[in-house]
Amino acid sequence: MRYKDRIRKDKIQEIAMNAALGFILLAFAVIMIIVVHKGIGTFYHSFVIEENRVVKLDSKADIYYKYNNAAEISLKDREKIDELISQDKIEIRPDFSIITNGDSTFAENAGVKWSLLGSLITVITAIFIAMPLGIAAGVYIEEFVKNRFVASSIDMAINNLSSIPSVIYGVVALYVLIGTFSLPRSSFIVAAFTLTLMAVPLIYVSTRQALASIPLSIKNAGLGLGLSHTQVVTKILLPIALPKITTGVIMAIARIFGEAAPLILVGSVAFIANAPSKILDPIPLMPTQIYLWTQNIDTAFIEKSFGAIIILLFINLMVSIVSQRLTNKSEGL
Amino acid sequence: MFEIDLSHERIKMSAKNVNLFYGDKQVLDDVSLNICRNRVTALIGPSGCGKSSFLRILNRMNDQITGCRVEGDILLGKKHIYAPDIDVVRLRTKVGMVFQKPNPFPKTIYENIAFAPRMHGLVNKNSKEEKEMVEQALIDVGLFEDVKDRINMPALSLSGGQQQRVCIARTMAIKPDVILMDEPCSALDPIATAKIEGLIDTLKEKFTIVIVTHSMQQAARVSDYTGFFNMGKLVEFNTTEIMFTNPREKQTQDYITGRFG
Repeated sequence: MRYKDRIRKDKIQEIAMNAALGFILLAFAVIMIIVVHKGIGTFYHSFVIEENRVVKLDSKADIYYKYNNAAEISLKDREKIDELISQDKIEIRPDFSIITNGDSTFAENAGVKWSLLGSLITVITAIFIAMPLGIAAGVYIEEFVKNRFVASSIDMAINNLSSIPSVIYGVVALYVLIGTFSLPRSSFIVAAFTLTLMAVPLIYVSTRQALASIPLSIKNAGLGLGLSHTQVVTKILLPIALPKITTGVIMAIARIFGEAAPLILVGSVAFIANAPSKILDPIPLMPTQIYLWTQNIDTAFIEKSFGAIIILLFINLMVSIVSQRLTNKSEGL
Repeated sequence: MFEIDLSHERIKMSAKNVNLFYGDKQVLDDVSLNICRNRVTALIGPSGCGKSSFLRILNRMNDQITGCRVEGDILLGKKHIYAPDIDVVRLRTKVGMVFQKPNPFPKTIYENIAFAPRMHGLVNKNSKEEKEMVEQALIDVGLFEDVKDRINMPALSLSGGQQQRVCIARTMAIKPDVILMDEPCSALDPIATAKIEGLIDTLKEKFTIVIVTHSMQQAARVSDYTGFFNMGKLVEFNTTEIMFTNPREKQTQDYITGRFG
């Protein structure tokens, strides 16, 4: 190829890559702008300020005052609010009832307190079951299975599991846990087990990749020093792979934390206003809570669901930052 | 094939009529070779001649390769190392190995050396003996003065030659009888190579060394005995002096003088 042609080709490829990056950034920015624009209002609410008390307006009045959107407010209420506005008695103040309250039929009182807690407990339980299973399976297949055909068959099957639509896990959990074992719907155990099923293949894949990325020379070094295969795996390879495995686990957490589809199938979509007191009680979860709210016709609930999405994104962002730090730390040595 | 007189030497390892197969492919063909105690034995030959494979069957590193089959007897002292009752892991503590590329663990210099002896139960973790052992190993490889202030730094932060010396120190620390070296200097610059060669010279007081090398000069400089491999056969085995001054086989002469290979 002539020098001039090569320069031109390089340039075209560079532009294409920049365009792709630009597209991704643009799409991301658009999503973020929409979510924040729609959801940020949840963290502010209109209050009526009188001499000795502050009264929270109901959601319809709040929407009317905040957005000047009169679609849902009744005529009578509207006149009242207009009167209060003319007296300059209404004020917008920060309001974190979305974090401090449980779910409610009144949008102004609804919050994600229990669903956030429910999600955290469910995800932590799921990860604690899935982590030993996924890591053990990954180590076993990568290091101990002698028969290549068996190893690659199992690997292919699990790889496949990590990329199938998550709703399938919901179907399986529905038939097995709820159908066969008669566990109660929307309970914490069913949700945790469903998410465990999802997390195991993800952790398995990252464990295997982490082990496979270690150069063979390190393994040979251990064997050449008279260490047994098991010692090499547990004392040399696993410590080296650990940061990458941790990143994989954190990615799995982020993934199952925001997963709604399988949970909808196992019935975690019930309206639950209070904290569960027994282990088989129905428990609300974050993604299904968002789903529930989006099904509501009230503008205030739609706003709430975007507010909840902001909280979810924030938590996932934190998780990503932690995982990034762990990865960077591992590359230091 | 003629025999050379080794009666004044003590034989540490010996291979008798060894054939090595990878699947259907024969890599070594009827190799018989004695390795003398406290001597350096160099194995030379063109690429793919089987010298590295021969080295790796001496501590059964070839077991890692699927489809690898060894015929014939290989003795360490009086023990057959391919006998069914041999513990491969224990064998490798007797016959240590240093590889072509420096491959320290991504741990500190101290940990690199202390790790394997600790696993073998030779020393206790963070004990005084462990510290002394690490220092002695570093002194033996001539690295102690360079790294004594950075002994807790990652071994990967050292230069290539220093890393390779850490790898040798690490192998020495498990107190093997034999050290196998698979082209230990091929990834190093001439100065680091000279240092490693000097090191090999002092190491033979304590260990028996088998070294595979591509460099004829290196074999001439460091070894007492030299074996020349070609096409999976041991063409000639003799003292290094005779080998490089008056080889008996034409093939050897051609290779040494650079006419082929």
